[in-house]
Amino acid sequence: MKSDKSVIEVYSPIAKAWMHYPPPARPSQEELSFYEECILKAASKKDIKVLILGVTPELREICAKHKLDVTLVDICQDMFEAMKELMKYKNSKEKFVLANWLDMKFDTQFDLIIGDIVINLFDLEDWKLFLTKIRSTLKKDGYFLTRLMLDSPLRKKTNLNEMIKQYKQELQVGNLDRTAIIFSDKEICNAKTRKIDFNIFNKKLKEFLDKGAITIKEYDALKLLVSTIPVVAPIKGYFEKSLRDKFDIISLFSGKEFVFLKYFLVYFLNSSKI
Amino acid sequence: MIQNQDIKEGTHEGVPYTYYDSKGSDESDSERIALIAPGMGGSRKDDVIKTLAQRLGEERISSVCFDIQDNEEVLPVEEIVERYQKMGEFVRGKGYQPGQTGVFGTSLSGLPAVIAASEMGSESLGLKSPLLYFDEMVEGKIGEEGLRAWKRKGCIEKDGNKLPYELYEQWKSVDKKELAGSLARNQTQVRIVQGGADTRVPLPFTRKFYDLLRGQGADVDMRVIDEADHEYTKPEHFAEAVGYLAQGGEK
Repeated sequence: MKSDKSVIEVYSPIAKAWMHYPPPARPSQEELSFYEECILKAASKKDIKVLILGVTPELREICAKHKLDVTLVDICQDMFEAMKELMKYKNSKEKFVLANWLDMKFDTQFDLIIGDIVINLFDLEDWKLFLTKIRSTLKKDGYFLTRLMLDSPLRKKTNLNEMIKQYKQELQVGNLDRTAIIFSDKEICNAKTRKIDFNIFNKKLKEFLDKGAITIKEYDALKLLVSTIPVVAPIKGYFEKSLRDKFDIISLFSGKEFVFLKYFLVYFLNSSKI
Repeated sequence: MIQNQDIKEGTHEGVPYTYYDSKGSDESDSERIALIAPGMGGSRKDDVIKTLAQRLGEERISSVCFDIQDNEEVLPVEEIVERYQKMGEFVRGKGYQPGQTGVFGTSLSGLPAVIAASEMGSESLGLKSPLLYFDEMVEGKIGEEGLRAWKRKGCIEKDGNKLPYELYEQWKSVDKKELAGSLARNQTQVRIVQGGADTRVPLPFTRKFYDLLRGQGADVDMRVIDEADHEYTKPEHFAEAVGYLAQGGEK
């Protein structure tokens, strides 16, 4: 079965550009080390079955490196194949299942489920449903390992003007907290649904370019590369509250490599409570 | 009925705490825990904090009480919130998950407690005479000129405590409506107790936050003790305030 045409249209440019995406669009080196550490902890049991939500090549490579039995589930098979081309280590044990994460069904349960920025793709009202699905797809003492984008009430209120000023002084994108602008701007991040429209960020930035306030070079450096997929990012507590009765937090990690990584947390969760 | 409450002193990641480990009659651990902080210039060993921890123990709820000041200088909001989070990590190490953790704030620790509860997805939030609109209170009291003088000096003294100017800026920058929305979304049970005769944190400011929470659809209850001052000086006021918070409020 091949993927739906509209899905391919959205995702295929992502596959082509993937290796050029900087964090947080892809997991950072520190985050990948944490992912690997947790995967190894879960793999201390023999012959574990791993399910990857999506086709993230970096996660597939870690599993390939440790020769793990992996199933991938995604709504786009072409994306699965395209991302495989980017992998240095390939896994002959990889199986692909074409399905939506909320509808996926398997004959078996898994020891470990991994997914990078997966729950953020659902509306808030589906978060508990998604976690219930993950819980039922896992074995009783299984693990769920996932990175999320989450907001904090302590974030500094800022705007594009301030960011442009800072960029002109430092000329470094890595020190800029574009995420804080996204969360501060109610047009970009809807206060109620917490849905983020990255296109509005780029549209607003384009207005600065059109006014001559920034150069095309500055525009290219500052614009967000992932603009096609909206994400939903509430304050951290919403996720932790949603875990109740489903998962225990074993550990969580946030990278220090870039200032914006404080809004990206990697959770290592255990389903042993039930 | 509680059989015993082990009390241990310790320090976790630089934060001194007192841990009230409540066990039921069958010696099993309690299923819930409260993180409790005092107000400005207060200590985890103050009567009100100790009594609250003991009363919670009667409900089989363990507590971790911790300080929010190391000396006379009041810590920035984010550092107080960080202390709540460190205590959250500490109790997670004891097996308590965020859904089993309640947060309590008193006076100055009111706003940090609200932020921490929102960040941690806490089950419940108890607030005693919480200072939530410090920025507006200060603006009303000292005016623009006073604020400029404070900014120039960097720090002012109040009741033997040093208040850095950044405290005002931080308080002002926190979006209270967003916080109220977050607590509503998380379905956190909020219980507020407030003295009607409180001159340090006047009732209208607390009512303003209560109304904001209600407007956002949060699960909130407020008890106003008419004659009570900020310190709940009269024993009957003190008992009512602590009893109300310990019981999680009466609807």
